[in-house]
Amino acid sequence: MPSLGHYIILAIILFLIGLFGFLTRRNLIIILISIEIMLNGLIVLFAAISHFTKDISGYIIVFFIIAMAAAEAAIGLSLVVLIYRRLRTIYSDEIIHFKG
Amino acid sequence: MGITLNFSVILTEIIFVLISSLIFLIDKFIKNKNYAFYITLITLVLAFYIVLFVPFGEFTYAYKADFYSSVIKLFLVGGTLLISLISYSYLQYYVNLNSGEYYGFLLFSLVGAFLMLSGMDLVTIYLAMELMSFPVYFLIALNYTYYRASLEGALKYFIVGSLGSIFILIGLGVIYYFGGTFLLQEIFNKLAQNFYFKEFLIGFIFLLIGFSIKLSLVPFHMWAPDAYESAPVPITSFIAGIVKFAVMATLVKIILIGFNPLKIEIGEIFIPIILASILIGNVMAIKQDNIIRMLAYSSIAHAGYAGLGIISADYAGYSFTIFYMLIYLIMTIGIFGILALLANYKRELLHIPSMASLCEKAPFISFLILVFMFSLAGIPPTAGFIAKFYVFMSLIKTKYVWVALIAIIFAIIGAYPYLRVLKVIYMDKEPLEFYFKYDFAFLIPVVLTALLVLLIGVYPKPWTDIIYKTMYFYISSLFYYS
Repeated sequence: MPSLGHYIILAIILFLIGLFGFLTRRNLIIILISIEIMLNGLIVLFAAISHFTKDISGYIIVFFIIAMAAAEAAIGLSLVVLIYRRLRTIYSDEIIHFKG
Repeated sequence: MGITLNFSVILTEIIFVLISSLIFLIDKFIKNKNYAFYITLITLVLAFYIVLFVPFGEFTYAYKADFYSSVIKLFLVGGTLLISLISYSYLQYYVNLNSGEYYGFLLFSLVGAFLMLSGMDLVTIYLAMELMSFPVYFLIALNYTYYRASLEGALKYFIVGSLGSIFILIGLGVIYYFGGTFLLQEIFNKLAQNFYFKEFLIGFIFLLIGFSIKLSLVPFHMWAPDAYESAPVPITSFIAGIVKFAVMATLVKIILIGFNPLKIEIGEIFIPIILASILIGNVMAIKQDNIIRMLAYSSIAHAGYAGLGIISADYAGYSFTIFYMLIYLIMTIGIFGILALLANYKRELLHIPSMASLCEKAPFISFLILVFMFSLAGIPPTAGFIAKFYVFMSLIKTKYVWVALIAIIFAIIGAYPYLRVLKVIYMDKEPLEFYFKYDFAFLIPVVLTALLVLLIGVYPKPWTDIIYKTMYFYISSLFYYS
């Protein structure tokens, strides 16, 4: 039976994987996926805390975060599709109009 | 004490959500796109009355309409009313933007700001902040038909904003792990009994990162100039004025109700952030040639000046923070209204060196620019001076004289970019082709804000009084509960 500490370690590992991908990758789709991975780590954290402290509000915020992640993914994907159609690229180091 | 479902308390938000959904539904079937502007105008005027007459009270534990949130909602509704007027005259020239979605997103974003201001719960505040910022990404990206790079600005704002929301969630996780609650009132009770001081402070720092991304304070300011430049001009004033005002007011509310026992430590955390934002905002504004980029950097600096009131950790200081943001809202609406007029007739005029000898073609507009630039730089007969004066005075009263001195030196540096615009307009002589005619929807917001700037600069007492009284009610309610 895993304890709360295990779940927190899992959440931190997921979050760090997402943060690493967010900072190093140049593909916009991968950046969006990394954001989702970070949000999933936070979902694990809230659900675990809520399960072990027998408090209901953690479960509630889990559902809110899932809905918010879906909305964020929709916005991000629509922006990326628009960028691909207009600028013909999805690599963040080729979108260099603004400087400084 | 049971849960109360008092629907009359959230009447404003219900009406706003219904009407903006209605705009999205019927937009496909109406040819003349100006209908959305009239619906928005009527809604906002109606909202002005509803906010005045809505009863104070709670809707479950998560929402509470009180004096503070209602007063700030009034300011926000007034600001959005003026911005929608500016948008009307702007969209007559940029026709592809002129669709119902523009105003629908504006109203949705305003609903988010309302819910955020009256949220009594960190979860509600987080969700409402997302509701406030999601429509803004679309509003920036809408501009791509005229300015292809605006997609890049929208994308940068989106990525940085989603990172900020993740940081807010980490802060919520830390607070929930140690405190076991999201309610601001219970956080206050736990802190008042000296539980988990350090842990709550760490949680608040993560919250602060998320909030300072929205406020574009310094380590997280890189998105601001790009997003501001790529947005349509009225939307830029919406981001700089309304969104920042709502976020700053919510931050002050969180500190007042939730983290009140920690407020001195929070002020000390703020010192390096605020001084760095004032310095970098002012120094980077010097070398910008595009006036919108210049105003974007200056908005970073102005968020810094407003934050000086939070450093002082004093209730009067907090009220001066809100007052500063109110003045900044007024100034931004005015100056961006003028820039929208210039962009309507000749978009090249947004480039500062090409503004030369504007004073011969358009003396009245040049005079209005002079008033707003003096106010932004903080020169006495205008409201910008009074706002800066109060903020610095609250710092000096609470023994942070060195912070006030450094900030004043940075403010002197910051006067240069504004005065440079005036120098180009009034002293440089170059032939300029520029024809325009005055427009009803342009004159009302700009002249009104210019008069307000001069009026508050001469007689600021009623405005500071009303803001201080809202703070006073909060303090008395805190003593009543604990």
